[in-house]
Amino acid sequence: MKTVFFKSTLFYYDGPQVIEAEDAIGGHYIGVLVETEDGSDRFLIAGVSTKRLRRFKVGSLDLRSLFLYLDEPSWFLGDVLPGGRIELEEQTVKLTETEFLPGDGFFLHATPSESEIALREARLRRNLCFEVSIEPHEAHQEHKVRSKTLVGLLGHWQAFMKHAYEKAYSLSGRKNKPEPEQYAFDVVVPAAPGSFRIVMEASLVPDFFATGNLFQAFELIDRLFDNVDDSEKTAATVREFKGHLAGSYLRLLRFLSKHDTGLKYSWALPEFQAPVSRAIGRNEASPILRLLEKSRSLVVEETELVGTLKLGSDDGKTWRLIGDDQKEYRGTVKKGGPPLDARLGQRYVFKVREEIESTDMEGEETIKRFLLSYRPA
Amino acid sequence: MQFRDELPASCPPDTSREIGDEIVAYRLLKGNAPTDDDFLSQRKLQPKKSWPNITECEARGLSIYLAISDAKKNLALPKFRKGTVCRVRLSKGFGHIEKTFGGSHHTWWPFAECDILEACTVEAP
Repeated sequence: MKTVFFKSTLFYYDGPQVIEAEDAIGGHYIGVLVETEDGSDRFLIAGVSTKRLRRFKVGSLDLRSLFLYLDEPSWFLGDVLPGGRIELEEQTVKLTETEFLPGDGFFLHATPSESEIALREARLRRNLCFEVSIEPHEAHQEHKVRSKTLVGLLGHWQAFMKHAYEKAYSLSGRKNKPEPEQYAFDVVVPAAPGSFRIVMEASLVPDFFATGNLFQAFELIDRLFDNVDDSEKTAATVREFKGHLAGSYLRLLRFLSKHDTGLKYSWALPEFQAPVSRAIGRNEASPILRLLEKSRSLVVEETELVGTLKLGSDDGKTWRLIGDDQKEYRGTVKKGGPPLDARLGQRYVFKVREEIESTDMEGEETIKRFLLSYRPA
Repeated sequence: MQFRDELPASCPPDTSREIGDEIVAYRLLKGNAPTDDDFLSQRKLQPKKSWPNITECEARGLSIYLAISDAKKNLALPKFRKGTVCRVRLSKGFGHIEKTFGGSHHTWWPFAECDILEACTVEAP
């Protein structure tokens, strides 16, 4: 009698319903609960290839198909015994002639990562760490992710992180913009074994202030992933946030949709007992996008820039401001907006409307700014 | 208030919440109509069984969903192929719940006094 070993519960309802197991040489098995009798469970269990198991786990292959088209024709019944051992009883009848096959349409939800890497790295580095992973289309066939896809993920995620941090910063009552180093992250584990996972550490040497804002930024991010299986609820949260954070979230979802992938992330501070994890499945981004795609006003943000006017135009329609943060800001006067008769070299507070026009493959943003009003600083 | 199952220490966890305002939840029934058996915890059904990585607290709770789509999906599983979905109106006095596992899955620890069958309405297929 063959023996395999319980590895994880893939789906739970009143106990494990779908499980993963391994044999002594690392072969993969999938099991689904078919009946409970006399206090014992009976699982339908079959060997599966790494590729097909991964496709099932990311939600692109349903459970019935997984069992209908087995790589090996053998199938078994067995129960998980104390210690995780499963003694497999090989069955001789055809699986299709039994009532054990699942019905159509059972796909796994995107489940948050069970990985503890973020917490382990946070404790090791005494810093906030997070991990993010995807399973794009190219990974469905082979164990690979194109570098372009990874670069895109990092770029979109960094933009998303930036706007979440700026939102958290402004919610704490601060008017000026935070320094970029405060929300920057460094890649510390470029390709964790077993999945396409990137682990990052906050760039800044942690102090109470910076860590507090990062914590709040992640809490805002978590809220956008809390209810991704309910597109109406998620859309309501996006509308509540609006502005650049909403826009960068939608761009991230478009990226995921374009690459036919879900996303999982976890983050932790060293003092956490467990990482905070969230996930969005490959089928969950599109319904949210459909609800929000046409709301142009959703992604517009009004903000104030303080700086010295360097250049206007003769027609009073374009301007260039050197901010107190030494950055250059360019923009135009919105049609119907105030005439720009400010004096060059003087300091002003410019109230502007920012629209992020587009992002390139790497998540870099092109911002259009429109002057709404201004006053001397 | 007492719970239906005898619960271990620190169960339900502090992170759970006592049900106050009405919540609509969904539970799977093995047949076409609700019976008491549909609302027995795993521990009640299998007193001696142990499950890897499942706590005693979870084993003494009931699985429910807050999204009907999640519940209906389970009808494809072999154990529920002949079953139906029941809409359960949870209100004050119905116990504690906490979001667990994936999707809209929650674990529900009902109080002993709540009339579960009265609160359950079978959903059309």
